[in-house]
Amino acid sequence: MGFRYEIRLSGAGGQGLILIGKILAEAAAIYDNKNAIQSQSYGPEAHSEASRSEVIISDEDIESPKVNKIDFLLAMTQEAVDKYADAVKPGGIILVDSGYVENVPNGKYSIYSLAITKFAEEKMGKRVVANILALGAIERLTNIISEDALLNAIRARVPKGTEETNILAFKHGQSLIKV
Amino acid sequence: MDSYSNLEKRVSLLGNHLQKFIFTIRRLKDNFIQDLDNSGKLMQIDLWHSSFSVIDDMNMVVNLSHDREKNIENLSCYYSIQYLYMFLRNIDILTLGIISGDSQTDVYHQFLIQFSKEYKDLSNAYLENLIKLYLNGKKTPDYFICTVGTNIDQDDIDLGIITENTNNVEIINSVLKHITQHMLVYATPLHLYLSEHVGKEDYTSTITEYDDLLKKQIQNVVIISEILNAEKILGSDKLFNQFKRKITDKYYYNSDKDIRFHEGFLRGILGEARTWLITPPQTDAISPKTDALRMLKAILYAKKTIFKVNSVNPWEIIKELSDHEPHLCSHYELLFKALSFLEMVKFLMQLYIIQEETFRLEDLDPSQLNLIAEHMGYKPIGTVNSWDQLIIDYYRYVREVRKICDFFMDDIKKHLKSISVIIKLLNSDHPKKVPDSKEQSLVFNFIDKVRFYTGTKYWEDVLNLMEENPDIVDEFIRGFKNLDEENRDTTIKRYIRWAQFTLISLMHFVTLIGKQQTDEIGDTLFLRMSKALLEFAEKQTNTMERLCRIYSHYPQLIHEFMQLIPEVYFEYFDRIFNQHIINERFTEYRHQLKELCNIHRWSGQYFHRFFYWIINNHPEYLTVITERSELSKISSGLLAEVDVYPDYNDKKKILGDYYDLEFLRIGIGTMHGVELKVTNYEFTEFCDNYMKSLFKICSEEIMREFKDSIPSLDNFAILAAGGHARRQAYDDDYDIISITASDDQNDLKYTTKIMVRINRELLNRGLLAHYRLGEILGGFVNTIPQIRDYLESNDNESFIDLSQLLGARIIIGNSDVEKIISEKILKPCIFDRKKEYIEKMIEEIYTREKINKERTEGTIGLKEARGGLRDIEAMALILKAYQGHKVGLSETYFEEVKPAFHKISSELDVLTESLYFLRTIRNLYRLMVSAEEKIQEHYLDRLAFVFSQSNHPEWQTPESIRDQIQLTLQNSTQACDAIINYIKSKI
Repeated sequence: MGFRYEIRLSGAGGQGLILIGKILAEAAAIYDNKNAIQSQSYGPEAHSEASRSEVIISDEDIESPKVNKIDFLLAMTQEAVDKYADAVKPGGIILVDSGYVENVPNGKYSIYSLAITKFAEEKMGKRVVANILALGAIERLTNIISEDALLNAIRARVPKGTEETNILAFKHGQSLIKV
Repeated sequence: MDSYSNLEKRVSLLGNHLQKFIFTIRRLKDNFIQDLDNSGKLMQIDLWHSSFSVIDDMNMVVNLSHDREKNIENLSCYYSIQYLYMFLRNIDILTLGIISGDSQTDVYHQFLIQFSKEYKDLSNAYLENLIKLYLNGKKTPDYFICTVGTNIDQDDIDLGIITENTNNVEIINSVLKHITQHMLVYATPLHLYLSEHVGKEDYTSTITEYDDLLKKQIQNVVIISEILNAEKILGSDKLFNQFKRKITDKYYYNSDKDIRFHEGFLRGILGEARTWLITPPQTDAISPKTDALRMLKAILYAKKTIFKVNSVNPWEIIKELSDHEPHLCSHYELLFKALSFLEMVKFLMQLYIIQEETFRLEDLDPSQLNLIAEHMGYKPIGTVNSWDQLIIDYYRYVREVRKICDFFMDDIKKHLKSISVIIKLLNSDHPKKVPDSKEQSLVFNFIDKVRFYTGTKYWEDVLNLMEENPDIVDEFIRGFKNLDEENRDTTIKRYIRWAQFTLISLMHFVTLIGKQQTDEIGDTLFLRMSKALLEFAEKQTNTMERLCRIYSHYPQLIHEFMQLIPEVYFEYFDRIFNQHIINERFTEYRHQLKELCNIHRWSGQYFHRFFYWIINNHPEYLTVITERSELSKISSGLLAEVDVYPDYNDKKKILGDYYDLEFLRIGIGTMHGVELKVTNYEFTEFCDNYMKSLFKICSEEIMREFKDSIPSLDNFAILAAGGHARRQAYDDDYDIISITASDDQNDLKYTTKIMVRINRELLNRGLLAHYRLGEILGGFVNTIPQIRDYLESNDNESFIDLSQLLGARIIIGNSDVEKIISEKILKPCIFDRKKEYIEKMIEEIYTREKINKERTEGTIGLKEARGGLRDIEAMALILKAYQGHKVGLSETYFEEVKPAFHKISSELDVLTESLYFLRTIRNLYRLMVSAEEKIQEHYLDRLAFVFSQSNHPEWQTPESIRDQIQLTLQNSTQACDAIINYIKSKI
């Protein structure tokens, strides 16, 4: 039986969540030969400058483009975790940026609280790569998409001249997760 | 170099994201070419150029093989090649347009329109052929596919897929799931926002599902805007028209239909536009979409529904709206230009840099940025590179769009006023008689009717109407009064739920109640609502950013709200200030909000008076409230502007603003621990500037009344006495001595009239002027002989006036007058009789000690207590009289006279320290509690707060301040006694 894995990436505008949504989808579909669908939301359902991106990955046809039971939630703000934690299915994973999320919810899921933005600032001197750093952690926590596929997708999505910086951020993100 | 290699090379200069298409071509091209060759059609398709007949070409490509999968791959290869050539060719055409010297706006507009058309043709043909291939001849129910986004977004293709009902939709859904997947891998991904949000869990939605969803989600302006701009690309015309009739049309203005849908859309879209409008642009990145395009398009869509414009292309919408409103054509023209420019910037940034909406500039290669600027026609000028020139224009367009959108929002407000169901409710007869039931009361009815519009954010028109009609607010208050306790509670909760979507509106509403509370019930309603509002806000994790956004555009609203709430409610703000801010651009606003909060919370009525005056006149100063240097520049500007205005009343008004702003600026500094010496210097300087300018204005104004005989000011002087003479900040009264050395009656009449006018202005500023000599001698202006005769009379009262003259400081007038005062008054009355003067002063000190039992329970007298400020000032007068010097009493006075008094130098040091400390405490207490000389111990916590933040951490508890005051008074008393004994032994 095939799998369907639903990822929601949520936070505020400017945190680069749409970009990592696209990278995840392209990595799965183009470089890992899986099926994927990606979407993004803004506007009234996403309060002011809130930002949300969703990716569904499957090894079968994706019958519905709607995310229903989240397997993995990345929450980069308190508002995001408060709003979406309930939609995470039992056994799912929540990754939060501890710099912005103080109150972590209780539920039948695993919670990982990492200082993502702070780490990006300290290790890379750039907050802007916090999203790619989170992507590294996501790769380790989900094991859904291969590392090579993600690296290829990163190279194909980030601006010219910033490829190596982003790859380094990805590696730092992976290093935050002790396997 | 072969054609493919050439294409690969050219594309390598573009953004990394286009490599996906190269990847597709590289993978599929050999088989594709082979298939073309095998079917003898290789020469019929000019593969390595932009095709002028993509539809015909694609029809040929999908029939090259009998294998469907091969045909799909060939189609994708063809699409990818054409997709890349489309960019390359259009960029070449753009360059040609720029070189040809045509208007830049025309070139950008034509480019974007042409690209949009080509992209639409290419993607539609691709989609249509893919559907055909996947359908493989199967029949489908009636459906249509529409594009709902702009066709110049390269990132994805926004689609809506609508069927009549759910019968047999599985066939379409099955095709769509394959196409979605296929396009993500090989081409431009589909974005199916509508499918994700409307209907069940598949790709298609029915008209009924749209209808059901939008009845419940009037606030969903994303969906409504998308369907308003839907353009059918495939499928049934009949169904599309049915969709328009049933769904889209109800958002257009039509007085014969249920107007609430149109009103709701306007409230939703204007709310969104305002959110973007009050969000300041980022400083480290550019985002044409969030900086300007979103609000621009929101305004266009709002106007489109008002004027029933059917076009979906934003440039076409602008043209049609301009025809509807020719008087606003210059605004529309500017929007047209801004739209072309900003879309062009976005297009090129996405093409060359990254397919994102926000472009962070710090990491980008400057040569890439200059290349983009040069594509848009910018060339380096001297040391200014092309990109820098572009960015200047970028921010100019962003500012202009924001300005025009602000204007159009006001304009749309008028339309809302004429059609709104809510406005009609408020405009019905007011005041009403006492309602029979809660359902009839406005407070209940209003929130009930507003429920339809849940989630919409724009209520400024309604709130402005309430502001203009106090009767309406009164009716709310009376309605609340008539509810029983349970219903009051429920009603407040319903209003608070409103704040979930529109904090700004509820804050405005509650402030209106607060401003108009005329009785106990009004007061209670305000207190309960403001508390509930703050409780709600505190629980929301994004309140800090929402408040910052409101503050950046409507600082006055938050200021007025804070003006009304009780001190204890500020604790909610303390907790809100601890919330994280994600967007760094809001950090400065948080800082300003904190400052505003501290001023409201920690300062007293005396300071509030000047603060309210200046902020009510100039709320825009709130946005620089943390920047004392900016405030200082504004003050200097105001003072300079006084001379510019021809009207004397205008001059006085601006001068008044100068006074209030300087008071505010220096007061904020004091409360932040600025050194006493700096505070006193700055305060004295602005008070003197104020007095000098006021004198100039009044003297010129009065001079106009003297037509025949021109009076002179040569022998006139105004002296500050008391605290202003001692350069002591924050005196709420002003001791003035005005003297003329002239014996011309015309001069006396003139100067008296000036002083009357000055006195009136000082009173308007809340400064109580005292004219001790004037009151005794019977005139605002006194002559030298008058004063001398009075002082020589040795009247008991005259001792005080003598002391005032000894300490007085000249502000206006020439130094000859001061010399005359010194020689003709001070010398004979004090310096020649210093023993008598000093003994009297000593007697005065000890008599005061007996009379005043200053240390009463809970209060401390800083001024009148033994060792207090008055004793220290008396010591200075004694020393001045002893030395025969007339110098002012600054903080350094005792330090300066030390060389002449070696034997009491340690006591003089004590007085220097005591003067510094007691004046510091006095200043802070006046600003933060009240302008009283007696200090109440239970307010010392406010002062402790300031000390804890400044360079005196040793005084960060009320107890430590109290102990220090007592110790200082004790030490100062001992020093005064020692000095008195020393001076007594010398005279």
